Amino acid sequence: MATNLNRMAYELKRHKLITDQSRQILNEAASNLQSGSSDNWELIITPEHPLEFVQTESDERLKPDIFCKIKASNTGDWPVSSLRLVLRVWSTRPDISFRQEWDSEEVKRNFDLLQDYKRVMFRCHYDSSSPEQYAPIFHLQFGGTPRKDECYWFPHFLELPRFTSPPIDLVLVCERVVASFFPSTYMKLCQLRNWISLIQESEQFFMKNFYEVCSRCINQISREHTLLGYLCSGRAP
Amino acid sequence: MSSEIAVLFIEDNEQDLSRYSRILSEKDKIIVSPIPPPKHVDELQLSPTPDLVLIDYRLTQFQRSGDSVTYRGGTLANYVAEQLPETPLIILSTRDVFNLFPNYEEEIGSADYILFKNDVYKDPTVGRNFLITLVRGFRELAKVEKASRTWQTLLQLLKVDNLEDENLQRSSPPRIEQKEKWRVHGVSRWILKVLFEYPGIFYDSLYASAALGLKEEDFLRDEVQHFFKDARYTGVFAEIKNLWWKNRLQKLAFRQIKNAGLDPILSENFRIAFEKTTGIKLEPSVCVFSGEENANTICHILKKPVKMKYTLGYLPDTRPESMDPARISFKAILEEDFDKHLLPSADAELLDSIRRKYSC
Repeated sequence: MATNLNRMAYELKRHKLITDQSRQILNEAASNLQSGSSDNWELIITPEHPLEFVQTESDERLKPDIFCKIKASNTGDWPVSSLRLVLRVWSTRPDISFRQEWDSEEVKRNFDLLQDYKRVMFRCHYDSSSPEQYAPIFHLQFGGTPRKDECYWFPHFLELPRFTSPPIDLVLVCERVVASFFPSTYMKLCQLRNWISLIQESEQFFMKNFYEVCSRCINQISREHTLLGYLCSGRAP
Repeated sequence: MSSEIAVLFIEDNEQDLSRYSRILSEKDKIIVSPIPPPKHVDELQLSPTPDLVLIDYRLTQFQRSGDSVTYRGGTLANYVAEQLPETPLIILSTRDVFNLFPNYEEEIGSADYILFKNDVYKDPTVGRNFLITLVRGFRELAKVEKASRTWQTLLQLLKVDNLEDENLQRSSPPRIEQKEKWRVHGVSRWILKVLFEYPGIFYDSLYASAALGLKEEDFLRDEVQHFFKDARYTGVFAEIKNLWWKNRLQKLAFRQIKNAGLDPILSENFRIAFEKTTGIKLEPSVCVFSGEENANTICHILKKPVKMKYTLGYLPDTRPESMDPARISFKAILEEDFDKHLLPSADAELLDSIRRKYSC
């Protein structure tokens, strides 16, 4: 996995999708992974030093970034025991960061103080459910708990909905970011064997078991639960 | 194998011939045989086979006999490399001479290393030790049987672990042919001119200390060195330069950070973790531009620590993409001469705004 993070850093940088700093962050995250063992590792990228992409091809006013905390699973049922991976999309320009008619003076003062019009426009996270939640074991949620510098308004008490998602890792989320925000580069990457094998290795490790479980559920002749019911109850066949 | 090394030294300037022969010789260790350049390259006497060949770059000065040659050191180096494919080859010259020949690098491509006369003159011991170390490294490489010169044996010589293998493969290694396998010169040049030259696979103390957010002097403290002893490079040519495997250094540091229960932010938390677990207080690296603590990279021009956010990319050389890219600090941008054309285009666009924002 550490090797794959380094490979991802190399490919993203080579295709000018991330900054030098982000490459360093990915390389360091890989070394940090290695400091653990094969069944006791943690992949951490902090919100203070996220993996930053460059301005997107689809809209140059936007910049995605990612931070995460993913912990290895010792049980063997799923590849990870805890997952939290946040994707933010920042605006970098005043014309979309600040709406004269809606936003408060405080927001404006903040921007002026920092001489920077960075603001989070979109925020979602891939999560694993906690024991007290009735939710799909791995899910996708919007909003979350923004940091002050994000200037992102979201009611914290609104923790729903939680949409079913397969377990996912940093490599696979990077693939989604590239496919969504850098479509022409993505097309080029899809021609490269190195890129494809990198993504496939992550798919195998993170998603294979999940989709097998889903397939078994759906193909069961007499079922007590729906697929969502199984994934929420944690009693998948 | 004799422990004494035989150096063949070819130089056109009589004074330099005797001066550098004298200062590079060392009793029981180095014997230097000085000769002027032969009229024709193929007349160079290479028997008995020397352990190392040292060639001046500009060989065209008139000799006392009235003769002069028309070729330069690069031509002679090519010939020697062809005749003695497993013998180290060094060009000994001055920086001024290289300034007169802008294409010198292409000409001396066969040489394994460049030594500058001024440096050798200033510190002959360093020069002598370098020759001895280089010969030792070559002997170690040449010892491997030709049939066994595979990527695997090369990794063994470097004492590599799994993750490093892949990083090395992306660092423009010499081609390893099915039949001829690796060649001693190709490998030595890759190690000395790529792996040792650019930060990325290895770090020297300057880069290592910045990565860990430490003052360089504190990184070199015995206690810290003891902690990082397993990260120290000990493979072939190790005596030439003090280097640490970047990956192993980071791994050890992260383990310490984890033990201290801190977030894995290398340049900010290693120092704190080290103090927490050992009681030893270390000084932070300080940004050459802002004066802030925990500077985490190096300004390529000033050779000082700087915070990454106060730098721009810089493309001063042809280092492989897998190496750490060079960065220059805003301080160098505002105060020093640098080549604007070497900034990546996206970074060059930021120049004006940086100057506007930070110029006094």
